[in-house]
Amino acid sequence: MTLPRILIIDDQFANEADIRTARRVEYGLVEIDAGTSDEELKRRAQEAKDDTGEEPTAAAVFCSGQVRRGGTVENSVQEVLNAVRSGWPSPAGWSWALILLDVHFVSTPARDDDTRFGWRLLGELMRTWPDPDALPGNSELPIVMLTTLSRSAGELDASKRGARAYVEKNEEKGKEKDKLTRDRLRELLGEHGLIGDPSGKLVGGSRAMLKVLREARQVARMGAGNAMILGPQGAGKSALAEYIHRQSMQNGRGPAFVEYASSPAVKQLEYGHLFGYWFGAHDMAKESACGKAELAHKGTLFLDEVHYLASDTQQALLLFGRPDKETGTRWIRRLGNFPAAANVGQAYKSIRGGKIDSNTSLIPVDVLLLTASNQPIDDPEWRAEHGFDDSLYQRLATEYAGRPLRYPSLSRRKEDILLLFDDFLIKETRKIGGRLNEEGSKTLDAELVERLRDYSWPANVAQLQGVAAEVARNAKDFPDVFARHLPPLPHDPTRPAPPKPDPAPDVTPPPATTAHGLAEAERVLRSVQVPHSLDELRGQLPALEKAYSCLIKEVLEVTLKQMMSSHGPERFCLPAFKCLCGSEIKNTGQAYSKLLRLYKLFGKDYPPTPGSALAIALTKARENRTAGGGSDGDENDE
Amino acid sequence: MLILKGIPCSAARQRGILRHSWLKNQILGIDAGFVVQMRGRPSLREARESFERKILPGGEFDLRLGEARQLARDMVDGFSPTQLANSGPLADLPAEVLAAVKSAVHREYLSETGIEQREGPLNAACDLLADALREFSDVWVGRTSGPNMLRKSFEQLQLRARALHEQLEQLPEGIVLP
Repeated sequence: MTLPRILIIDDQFANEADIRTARRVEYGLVEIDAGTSDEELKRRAQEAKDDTGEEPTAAAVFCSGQVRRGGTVENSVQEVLNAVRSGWPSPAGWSWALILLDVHFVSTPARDDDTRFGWRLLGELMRTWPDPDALPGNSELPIVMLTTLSRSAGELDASKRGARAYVEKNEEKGKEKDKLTRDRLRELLGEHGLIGDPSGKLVGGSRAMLKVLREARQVARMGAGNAMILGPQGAGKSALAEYIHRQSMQNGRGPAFVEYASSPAVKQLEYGHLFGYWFGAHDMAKESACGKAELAHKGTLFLDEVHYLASDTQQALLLFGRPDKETGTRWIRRLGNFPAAANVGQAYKSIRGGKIDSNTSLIPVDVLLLTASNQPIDDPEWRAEHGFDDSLYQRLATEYAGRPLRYPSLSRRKEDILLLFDDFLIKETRKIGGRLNEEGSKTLDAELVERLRDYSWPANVAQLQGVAAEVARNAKDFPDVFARHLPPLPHDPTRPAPPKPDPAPDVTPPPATTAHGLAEAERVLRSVQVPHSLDELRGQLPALEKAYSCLIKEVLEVTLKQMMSSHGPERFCLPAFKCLCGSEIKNTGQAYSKLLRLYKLFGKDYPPTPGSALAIALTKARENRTAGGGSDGDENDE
Repeated sequence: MLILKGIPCSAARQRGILRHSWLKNQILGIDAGFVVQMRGRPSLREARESFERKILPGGEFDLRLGEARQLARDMVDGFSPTQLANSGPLADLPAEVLAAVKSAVHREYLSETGIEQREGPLNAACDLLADALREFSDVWVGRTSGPNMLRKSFEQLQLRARALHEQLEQLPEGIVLP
C-alpha cells in the first residue's frame, strides 16, 4: 500500500522551500512530483520514516498556481487545472486522494483580487470536475480549503462554493482543533479523501471504488445506525461490510462481526436465527438460544440478501432497525415466552446482549446494522412486486446513511481488474505451492492482459477470482502466464455472439443488407438529442455505438471493395488500409492487425456479411495471424 | 463607520500581505524546533538557503520591515475616504466644494478611527521586530550559538512579530467611510 497522494495548491508552500519544508515536517508529508512512481514513493516514505521515526501521512505534490514572466508573478487558473489533471487520474492510474487549496495567492506586483484567487480556483475546479452522482454544486474532486484566513472569515465561502472542509494553517488562540496537523490531515483523508483499504483486503484504486470506500468510512463513523449496500452478485458487498466494520472498530465499536445471509429456504426459521428463541418456542427449541443480533452486540450485524427476508422478519426488523437516538440501543424480542422456573437459569445464560428487561423480556443490544442486496430493492415498483416493506427499505437504507451505498460492478471499475487478478493469482498460486517470479508475483503476457481488460465480467469479482484460481492451477509450474492459461470465458453479454466461421473467400457482391444498416445508422445519428444528464448520455450510448460501428464497417467495406477490384482479391488489404490510414500502415501484417482491431469495434452487432470484402479480408487476417506472421513478404511490403 | 472592503485600496492590500504572507506564514507559522533543525541538518539545505534569503541583512524580512514602515507613513491617507472623491460623481463638483467635502470627510474619518495615533505604536513594533531580527540573524550565523540560544532567539522574533501582527490587525481592512 503506497501513501495517498495529495495535491497542495499554495503559492508560498510551492515557492518558498523553508515554509514548504516546515509544513512538510509538521504534516508528515513526503514531497514528490506527479511523475514519481510507486516504487520511488515507497523508498522515500521509508527514508522519511527512518529520518523522523514516524509513519508519514501522505505524499504531496506542491503547486504554486502561478506563472513567472520576467520579474512578474501571475496567478494562473490554467496552471492549477494542469496540476489537477496530472493526477485525475495520472497516467499510472492513481488519483489525488485529497486536494488542499489556499485562498490568498500573492502575485507580483500585488493585485486586489489576489485575496480571492483561491475562491476563483475553487469555482473553476467545481465547474471542470462536477460530481455526476451528486446535486449541482458538488465536485468529485476532494477539495479542502487550507488557509491563514480565519474560519469565521472563510468557512461560509468554502461551504457555499463546494469545498469538503475548511482548515487553518496557523493556530488561532483557543481554536487549536481547527489547525492542520498530522492527525488532522489523517482525519481529513479518512473523512473526505479517496484512499484505498490499507489492509489490502479490498483491492482496487479506481475512483468508483475509492468513492464507495469513502462513503463506507462515513457509515462507519455514524455509530449504531443502519446502512444498506447494493450491488451486483459477486461484486464484493460482504467484503465492503467487513471494511465498514473494521473502520467502525477504529471509532470505538466492538470486534463482533456477525453475518447472516437470508434465503428463501429458511424463511420459517429465520426469525429465530436472527433474534433467538426461548425454551419451548418451537419443537426444536430444547433450550433458549440467542440469535445473530445478540451475538453482534457492541459490534456489527450484517444481513446479506436482505430481499429474501420473510414478512414477519421484516416487521421485526422494522422495529429493530430503529435504535434509541440517545443510547443507540435496539431491543430484541426472542421467539416464544421467557421460560418457567426450571429453565430460567439456562435462559439467562443464553443472553449475549445487555441486561434483559424483566417486565417485557426484551433484550437490549447495540449494533451497527448493515444490510445488502443484489436486487433493485431501491426501486419502489420492485418492492411492491416482491413484497418488500417500503418503510423497512427507508429505515435500513436511507434514514441513517442518507442513501444506499452502491458497490460498483467490475465493469464500472475496469482499472481494478488487473490489480484484483494479480492479487487473486498470487494468493491462489501460494495456496497451491505454485511458482512465482523473483518479485513474488506472476508475469502476465500482454494478450492475457488485453483479454482480461476486454471482458465484461458479468459475474463480477467472484468470477474474476474463480478465473484467477484456474489460471493459477493451469500455470502452476511457470512464473509467466499466457492467454492460453485462461479458461474459456462464458459468453460476454455486452458483446455480440461469437462470429460465425468465415466462409470461403467469395468475390460476389454482398447482399443488400447494407442499405438497411446505413439507413438505421443515419436514423440513430439524426435522432440524437443533446443529453441533459450522464444517465441520459449513458442511455444513448449503445445506440450511438451501434450506429458508428455500422458507419465504420461501411467505410471499410467500400474501401476494401474498391481496392479489391483494382488489386485482386489476394492483394487488396494493404492498399485499402493505406488508403484509410495513410503511411502509418507499413505492411500487410499491420494492415491485418488494424483490421482485427477495427473488427472489435464494429463486430458487436454486425458480423461481416458472408462473402463481403470485409469477410474476405478478415479471413486473410486470421490466416495471417495463425501463420504467426506480423508481416509477409509477398505483398511488396516496404 | 463602514469599511469598504470591495473597493481597491493599496494600503489594505499591503496590510494583508504583511500580515498574511509575511508575519503569519513566514514567522509565526514556523516552529522554532524546525528552525533549529534547519540550521543543523544537511538534508535541509534547500530550506536553509530559502530561510537565509529572508532573515539575513538586506533579505526579504528587511524589505518587509521597510514596507511596514512605509505603510505607517502612508496609512492615514491610505485608508482615507478622500480618495473616493477623486472619481465618480463627486469628482465633478467645483474644486473648492470638493476640497471642502474632502476636508470634512477626512476630519470625521480621523476622529472616528483615531488612525493617527496608530502610527507610533506601529513604528515601535517595527523597531522592536527589526532589533529581534538583527539579533536572530547574528545568532543564526554565529557558529558558537547552540540550539537553545537559536530557539530562544527565534521565539523572541516570533514574539515581536506577533506584536506587529496585532498592530496591523487594528488597521482597517479597506477604505473607511465615516
